[in-house]
Amino acid sequence: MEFKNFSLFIKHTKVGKTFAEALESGKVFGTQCEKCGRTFFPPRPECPDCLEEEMAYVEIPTKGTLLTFTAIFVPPAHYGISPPKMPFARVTQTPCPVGVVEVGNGLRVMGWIPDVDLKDLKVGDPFEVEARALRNGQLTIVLKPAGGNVPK
Amino acid sequence: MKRKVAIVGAAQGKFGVREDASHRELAFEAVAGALKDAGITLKDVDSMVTAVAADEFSFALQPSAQMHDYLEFYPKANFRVEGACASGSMALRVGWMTVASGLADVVLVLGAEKMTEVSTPHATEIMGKGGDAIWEYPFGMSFPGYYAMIARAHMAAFGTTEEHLAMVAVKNHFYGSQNPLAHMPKEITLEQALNSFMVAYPLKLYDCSLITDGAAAVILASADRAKDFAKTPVWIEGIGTATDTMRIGDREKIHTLQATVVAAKEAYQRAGISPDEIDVATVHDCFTIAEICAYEDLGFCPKGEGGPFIQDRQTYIGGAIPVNVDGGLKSKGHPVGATGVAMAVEITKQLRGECGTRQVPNAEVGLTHNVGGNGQVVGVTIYRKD
Repeated sequence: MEFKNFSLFIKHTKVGKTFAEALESGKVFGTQCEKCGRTFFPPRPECPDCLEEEMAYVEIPTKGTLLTFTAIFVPPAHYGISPPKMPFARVTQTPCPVGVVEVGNGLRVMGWIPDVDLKDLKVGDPFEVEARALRNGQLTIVLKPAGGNVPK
Repeated sequence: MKRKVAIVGAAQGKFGVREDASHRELAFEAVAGALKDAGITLKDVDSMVTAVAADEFSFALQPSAQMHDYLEFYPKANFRVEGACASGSMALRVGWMTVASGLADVVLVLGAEKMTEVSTPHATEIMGKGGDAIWEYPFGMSFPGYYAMIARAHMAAFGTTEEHLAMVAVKNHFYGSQNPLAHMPKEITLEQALNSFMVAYPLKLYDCSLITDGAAAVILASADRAKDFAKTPVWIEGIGTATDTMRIGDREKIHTLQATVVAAKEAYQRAGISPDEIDVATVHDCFTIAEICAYEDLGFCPKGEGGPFIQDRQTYIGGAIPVNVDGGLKSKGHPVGATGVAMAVEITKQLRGECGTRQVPNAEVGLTHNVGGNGQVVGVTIYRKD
């Protein structure tokens, strides 16, 4: 798997391949500086404090709380649907909410929030972070309400 | 800084969907206006700085070269400054530095953006990549989406409501309706705003600024030259610039634009004033929530009280501090690279007393606040009447 399966556009990065392969195997990787111990998400191959590239890949904590969220009803070109071919017809899209979850070590993770009604989301709710390989080959990150009693 | 700097000429062209004009033609309107306002020609200008936010809008690798070519400004210095939606304020900062340092005496600062040549979904994509194109855009993030996240965090922390947001839109459209250069010079009602369609939950159509074509220009001059022009100079008293994380999720408090807090502190210190001495302000209302955050982060009201502040009409003329009485980005429009310069034009005209029905009486000290991206770079500038 390539990083482009996650990022849509970007292939070239030092951390991409490892990150993408981890997502494919169900893990969300950050990095940790082997000198000072500081952890990073998104992963980066160098520590801005130590100015060294002595980093280890680490699985980030998966449990946290929802800091904020939205749902994009007017999407960028990439995520929109084409106009319908039937004249005078309209197609509407129900967007998937997107949120930011704070996990341990002060790390913040953005991800999709599928299968949850927007109206049921609340800032401060307990959430879990999960790696997800989609059927179309895309790799992504999903945020799930903790406790899990959410219909699939 | 060694030398004081004044604005001695200022003009904004008509903002809107300008299908009648190209990027360089829009720029010409603003530059010609600013030169006439100062009573000079380009021969009197030593140096130039151009703000354009995105190549993707202008279909050009070096849009600033189009400008100096079209103006026939060559061979004098001109280059582009970029800071997303704060490009205009960053260009103003560079122009100010050029004069203050003694490198030039008279400098033209131009901001111009032509946004409607591309489709709205494409414009939404270009702006969406104003967040982290690698780590945020893969989640379908649009520009309204980032501010929707700020709004949701603000609502959760302080009880700010969708009505509070709509009240900002109503105010800015009220004043925009009195500004003939505005993109959408019409009044709206609170009900219209609340019932408009959802763009990025909880932000609706009337919470969002406009995709606009337009340009604005100011002429800067050194103190020893400032009286040589047609109009009374307006002095740049303090400039502050600050930055913040690329990703919105990485901010300690998502409801606060920390770069605004830091840039404002620097600008107030340089000017030697406090927020309560500001008579009129233009703040970066790319979304209604952004104006509420700006009230707080600029120190116009305590953190978290931005909602009640607009509810009490404190930012109307006659209130504690009139804000965006030109219509703001909301009604006047937001041609991204031009916006910061257009803010400087508005404050210049307010401090000269040239704003007609929307003139703030006896305005002596003004402030502009211009945000790049969703807070990655912010410029705050303070101005004083001569």
